[in-house]
Amino acid sequence: MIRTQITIGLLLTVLSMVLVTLIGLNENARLARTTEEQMARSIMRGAALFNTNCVVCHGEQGQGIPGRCPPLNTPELFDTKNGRVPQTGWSGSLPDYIRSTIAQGRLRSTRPDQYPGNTATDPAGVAAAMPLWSQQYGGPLRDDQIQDITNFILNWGKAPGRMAEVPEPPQQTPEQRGQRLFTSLGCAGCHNPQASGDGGLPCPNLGNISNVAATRVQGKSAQDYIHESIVNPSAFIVPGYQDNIMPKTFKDLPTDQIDAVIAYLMTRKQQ
Amino acid sequence: MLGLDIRSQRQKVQTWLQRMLSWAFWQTLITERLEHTTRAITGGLSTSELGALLRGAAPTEKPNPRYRLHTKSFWFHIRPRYYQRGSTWFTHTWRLGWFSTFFFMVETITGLILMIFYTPSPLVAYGNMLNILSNVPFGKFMRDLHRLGAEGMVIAVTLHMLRVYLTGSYKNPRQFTWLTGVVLLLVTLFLSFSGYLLPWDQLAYWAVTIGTSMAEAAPVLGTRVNLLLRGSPDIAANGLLRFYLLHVFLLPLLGFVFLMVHYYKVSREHGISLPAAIEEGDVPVDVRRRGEERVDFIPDLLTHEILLLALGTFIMVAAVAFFFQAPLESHANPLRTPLHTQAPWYFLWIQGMLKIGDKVLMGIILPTVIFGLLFAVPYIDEFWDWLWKRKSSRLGKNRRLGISLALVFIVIMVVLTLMGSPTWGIVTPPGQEIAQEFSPEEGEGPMQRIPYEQYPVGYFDTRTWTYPTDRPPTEFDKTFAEFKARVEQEVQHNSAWKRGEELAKQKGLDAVYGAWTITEWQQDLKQIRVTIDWNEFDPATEQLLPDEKSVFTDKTVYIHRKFGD
Ligand code: HEC
Ligand code: HEC
Ligand code: HEM
Repeated sequence: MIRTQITIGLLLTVLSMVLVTLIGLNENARLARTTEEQMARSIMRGAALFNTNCVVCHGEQGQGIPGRCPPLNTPELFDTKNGRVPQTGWSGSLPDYIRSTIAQGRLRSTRPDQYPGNTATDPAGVAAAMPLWSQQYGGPLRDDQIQDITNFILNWGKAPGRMAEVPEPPQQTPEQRGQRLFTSLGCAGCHNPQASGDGGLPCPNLGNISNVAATRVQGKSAQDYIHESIVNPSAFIVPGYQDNIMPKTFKDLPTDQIDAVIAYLMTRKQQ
Repeated sequence: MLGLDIRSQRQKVQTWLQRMLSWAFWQTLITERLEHTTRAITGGLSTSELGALLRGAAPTEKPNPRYRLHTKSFWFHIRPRYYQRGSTWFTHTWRLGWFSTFFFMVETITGLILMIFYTPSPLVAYGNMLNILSNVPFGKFMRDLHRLGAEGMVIAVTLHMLRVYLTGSYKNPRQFTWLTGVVLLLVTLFLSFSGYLLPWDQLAYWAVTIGTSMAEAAPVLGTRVNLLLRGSPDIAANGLLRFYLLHVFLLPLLGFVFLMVHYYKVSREHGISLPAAIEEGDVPVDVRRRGEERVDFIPDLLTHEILLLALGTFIMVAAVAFFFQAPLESHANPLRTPLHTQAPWYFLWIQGMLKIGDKVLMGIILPTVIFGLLFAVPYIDEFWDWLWKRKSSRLGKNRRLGISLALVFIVIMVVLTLMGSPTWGIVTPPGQEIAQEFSPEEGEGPMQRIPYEQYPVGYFDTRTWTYPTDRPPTEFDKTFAEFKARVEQEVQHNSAWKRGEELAKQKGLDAVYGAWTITEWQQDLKQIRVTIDWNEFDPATEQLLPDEKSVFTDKTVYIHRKFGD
């Protein structure tokens, strides 16, 4: 009995040691793999966070919204010799630049001619170029989430400027297509298409635009007015709003896209 | 001349050399030293005695040097010199008390190692876990062992209690042993529970939030206890620190103290009980006599325990090497209640009770009563015998009521646990539920299991998509086919969807459909937009809701080439 127990015990101990050795031999490879996987997961989380927090300003693919927000998916950001980092006089690395910009936001635009925002000149003292995000300063995101978004933005650096081609459903109505375009073109970054509220920006609400548009300019149908508002925003300035905020670059859009957006906006009406 | 007698010196050297070269000299020297060292290490056992031990032979000296060990060695003094054979029968104890101790030790060792890499602060705790997994050699191994050991300990302790109950071993004179045992059970449960919070992931955060909010329901003291545990109205930095200190200091300390008391009672005062049939003479005389024989701790039981140690270690190592993985969800987020929050499995029964009654009664009063009854088991038992003027007996056939009650209690616990399983979820519209099934918030769903390369870029619609017949199906095809089936099945089983579908058909509107829009979003990153659109039917007005008002599911999933699974 004693001998059998000792033999089995020894055998089991040897087996355990073999297993631990095997785990040990594999350990370096596993650590490297886990590190890579954690980075991949971080990018996945960052993509989702970017999608919920940043696209209204920076565009779905970080392409920026002219006149509103700079592109992030741009070679200029990743060019550490002549790009944004040296331009702004930032002395740290690019990841630090991105991380700290997100964490602290931008009280004052570094390119006021292109992208508005300056708490110092805003009468209410709130209109920063970009809000801050870190919970350390009272923002909504944790620092690990900011790191996730940073990793996601840095991933654009592998092919900066490349825009993903988003497949479109083959049989969609112009209204459905227009709804997507309204977001992806960046209109949603300034305009709220829902019933009420301006989304915190000095841009008119478009929740009832189909009714409103018909009354704006004598003799202009709603469609024509909306069309003009997009391709030539300065032709009619909505009372109470300023010229030169809505970008003038939309005139270069393909006509089918403009038509789809108009079709969508024509569905925005209150009884 | 100089008084230097070279000749005698030479002689000295010669005899010295001779001695050095003789085999006998070395032999005695080595045996002597060996013998000495062996005795020093083993607490007085000679080498031949050791040999006899390993062979299982009788002691070589008198008085029995093995008994001497029990007074000379600290570790052996804790253990009794001998047991009665019956109390060592495997089917009597199932070694469950032993395994409880084993897991407690495993937890202590692995826990101390994990402590090195852990800081109890919400800012870094989760990052520490990631670091343990990706940067600390054997870090994952230790963490998995620790988690597995925790579950093992809860199981072993509970079963140990069950066996003590079933063999009637809690009865006079072992009432106090039982009492300390229940304290150990509570310590074990709270150790597990407090450890649950430390990774600071969603699983931890919400399980502990439900757990502590139960305390809140307690009359009078509730909010105070809750505040004491959490350190603030919500679990945050203070709560984490408190749970950490409970987990690594107070509870282990309590555990050690009570374990010492518990085991002292068992080993020194009463011994392990004999099986009732032997103690009460319900077996043939020769069996009884054999059951009452002495078995020495050294070597018989010691060898057995070393075998158990090797076995326990091997099972743990193998489980961790081959299949067991400690879960880690995403970072704790107080603002985001998961769709399904779940208490640790050993507290599911409380969740089950909460479903059938109110928070105070089911969450506080009943569990307190249950543990109160557990404490009182030996005394109730005694009272019962006194009431019916019976002689106390440990035999199963004399304890029909007691054993039936235990079985009923077990069945109730199992049922409550099953009832408690997935709970506390928010009721979600079916579209969202389907999206959640295919890509859950936490962990991996079917969509995460499709390899990155097999995701085709494009727009896929359940109305038009067909299963490929001209080529072997990919993982994408299989999963999308499941998705399609799931959406169509919902139309059949969900009455609101079904009615909406009928009305929509009459009006020539779109049918229910789901679609995946797959985009190569960045290098090595694909975006899958899952949309599910149905015709929402308002039972109040018997009408379809206008598109504007109806909800539809829109979920965006990202898959990175290297995220692993
Ligand atoms: C309210 C609109 C707004 C939102 C929302 C917003 N940003 Fe910005 N962001 C800006 C503006 C405007 C600038 C440019 C300011 C400037 O030029 O100095 C900017 C600049 C940046 C920059 C620096 C770019 C450069 O070239 O210097 C980064 C990085 C950035 N944002 C990331 C983010 C991330 C990540 C989010 C989401 C968590 C986000 N932003 C949300 C408006 C916004
Ligand atoms: C940078 C912010 C910004 C962006 C981006 C933007 N707009 Fe505007 N838009 C404005 C402002 C400010 C006005 C009001 C001043 C004016 O009439 O030019 C306006 C006015 C309009 C009006 C007239 C509203 C009314 O009540 O008469 C329409 C229609 C409109 N925008 C459509 C769009 C569409 C479509 C897009 C996307 C292709 C878009 N806008 C993008 C800022 C923006
Ligand atoms: C950390 C938890 C515990 C540890 C480490 C532990 C350890 C032990 C050990 C090693 C024994 C020796 C006999 C055997 O192996 O079965 C024992 C006996 C005993 N335990 Fe425990 N125990 C624990 C919890 C409990 C609990 C929860 C109860 C009951 C509520 C309990 C009640 C008893 C009793 C009554 C005995 C004496 C049994 C007999 O003499 O047959 N113990 N315990």
